[in-house]
This record gives sequence, structure tokens and C-alpha cells, in this order.
Amino acid sequence: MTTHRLYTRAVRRESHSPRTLAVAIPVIVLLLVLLWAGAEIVLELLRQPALLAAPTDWTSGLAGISELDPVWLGVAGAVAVILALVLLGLGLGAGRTGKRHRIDEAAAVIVDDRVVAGSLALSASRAADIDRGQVRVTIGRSTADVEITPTSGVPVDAELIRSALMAELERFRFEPALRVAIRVNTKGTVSP
Amino acid sequence: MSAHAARVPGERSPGRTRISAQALNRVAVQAAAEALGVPAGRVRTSVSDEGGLVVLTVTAPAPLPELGRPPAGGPGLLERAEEARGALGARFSALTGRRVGRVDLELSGTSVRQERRVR
Repeated sequence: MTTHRLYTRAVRRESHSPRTLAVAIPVIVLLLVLLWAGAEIVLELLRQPALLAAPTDWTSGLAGISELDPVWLGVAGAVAVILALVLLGLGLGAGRTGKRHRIDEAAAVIVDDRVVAGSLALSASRAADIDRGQVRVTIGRSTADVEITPTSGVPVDAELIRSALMAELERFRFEPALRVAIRVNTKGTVSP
Repeated sequence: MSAHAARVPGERSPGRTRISAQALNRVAVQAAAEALGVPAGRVRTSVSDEGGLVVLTVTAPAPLPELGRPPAGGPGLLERAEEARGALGARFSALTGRRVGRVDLELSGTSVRQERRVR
């Protein structure tokens, strides 16, 4: 039971992006600002010259910000907004890294979506007897989009491909499960 | 249909056979030359795709009976060309296993059918 929980945690860690960096950078910046402020206060108390600005000048300095060039103020504001949106996105987004998993009794398996896409493309090309280059697979969160370019004059049986791919996914039993969507291009290729 | 039945998974031997565009072109040239009764050296073809079907574009000389001979009274040039157009598409299809959607034939120049060369 405990191994299962361990696997679940490992899988979760592997299939979602860590936010360590996104947390660490703002925290370090905040820490540096606080350290600087503390140093300025101590220097003020010791009646020593300030490093950048004495604490007594801070409020007037902030009030004087409106006297700066509005263009630069706008740029700085835009940068701050973008930074805020990026951090919000990182924090609230799902942070999926495009991986599937399967937890068995003996092992946990984590597979990159690109590997699944390659495997599906190979199976599709075999099922339809077409070149590997005539199949393009794009994997979304819950759908595998399979785009087939037929050989001119050779009809493609989409149902045959669908059943082959579904049988393969059935065998993999990966989570989150994938649906198969097959699209056959109207324009074929004379010689693949 | 028999070609389709052969594509059941597991019944094929591993590997794939592909026909190059050049080979398809040569087959089309030969089929056109045979259907029209003109030398293959004077036939030009291009193989393209339309809606997943093969389109053959053929440029060949018009086959004419030997000059000086009385007209045989058979079908006219256009009728024979139409017949050849259908025949070459079917022949191409039979040889390559590809479905032909359209055959465009353009007669350009003439080719006089000579029974034997006079020295």
C-alpha cells in the first residue's frame, strides 16, 4: 500500500512541472530588498551615510515617482504586469509536462507523450500499409489526433486504423486515457 | 479488391513496397503508347493527385493511318482517342493497383502508323 502511495507521488512529481524556480526567484528578490532595507535602517540608527537612500527619504522618493518620464513609467508598469501574469499562470496553471503514466503492482511507468505519438504513428502506418511519413500524430491532453495523407489511388480505411490504435492504447493502459481522432487528408501523395 | 484483402494486418510480410513517381510515370507512358499505338518515345505523362485519386495527364501524338492509303472507314480520330483514354487509365490501374480518378489526354503532333518501312 505504501509503495502505491510512493508511486503516486513520484508519478505526480514527474508528470507536473516543479514550480521551484518560479517561487525561488521572487523570494530571493524580496529577501534582497528586505536585507537592503534593514541595512539602511541600521546605518541610519548609527548615523552613517546611506547606501542608496536613507529611510527618511523613502516616502518622498516614492511620491516623486510621478515626476519621472511617463514613457519609462509605462514601460516599467507593463513589465511588472507581464511578470505578474507569468507568475500567476505558473502558479495557477496545471503545469502538466506532457506525460502519461501507469501504476502496476511492481512498478510505475512514466512515458513522454512524444513516445506515445511515435508509437501510434508507427502502428497507424502499419495498419494502413502506408509510409511512416504519411502519418502525423499530435497528442493533446485527452486526444491523439492522427492525420493521414493517403497514397494517390489507394483508399485509406480509417476504421481499420482506429481499431488498431485503440487496441494499442488499450494494451498500454496509460493515464490520462487518450481518445483517437483520425483525419484523412483529401489530397494524397503520388509517391510517398 | 483483392489488393485490399491482402492488407489485413499480420498477413503481410514485414517491410513495405513503394512505387516511385518515376516508375509510375514510365508505366503511364507505356500504357498510353500501347493504347494509342504510338511510339513511347513521343509520349509525355505526368502523374498527380486529385482528392486522393491518381490523375494522369498525357501528351501524345495523334495516331494517323499511313498517308496515301484509303481511309478505312473505321472510327474517327476523336473516337479512337477517347477509347484509348479509357483504356490507358484502366491499364495503368491494373498495373499499379492505384485507382485513377481522371485521365487528361492532349494530342499534339501526329504519328503516322507505318506498316513497313520502304527502302
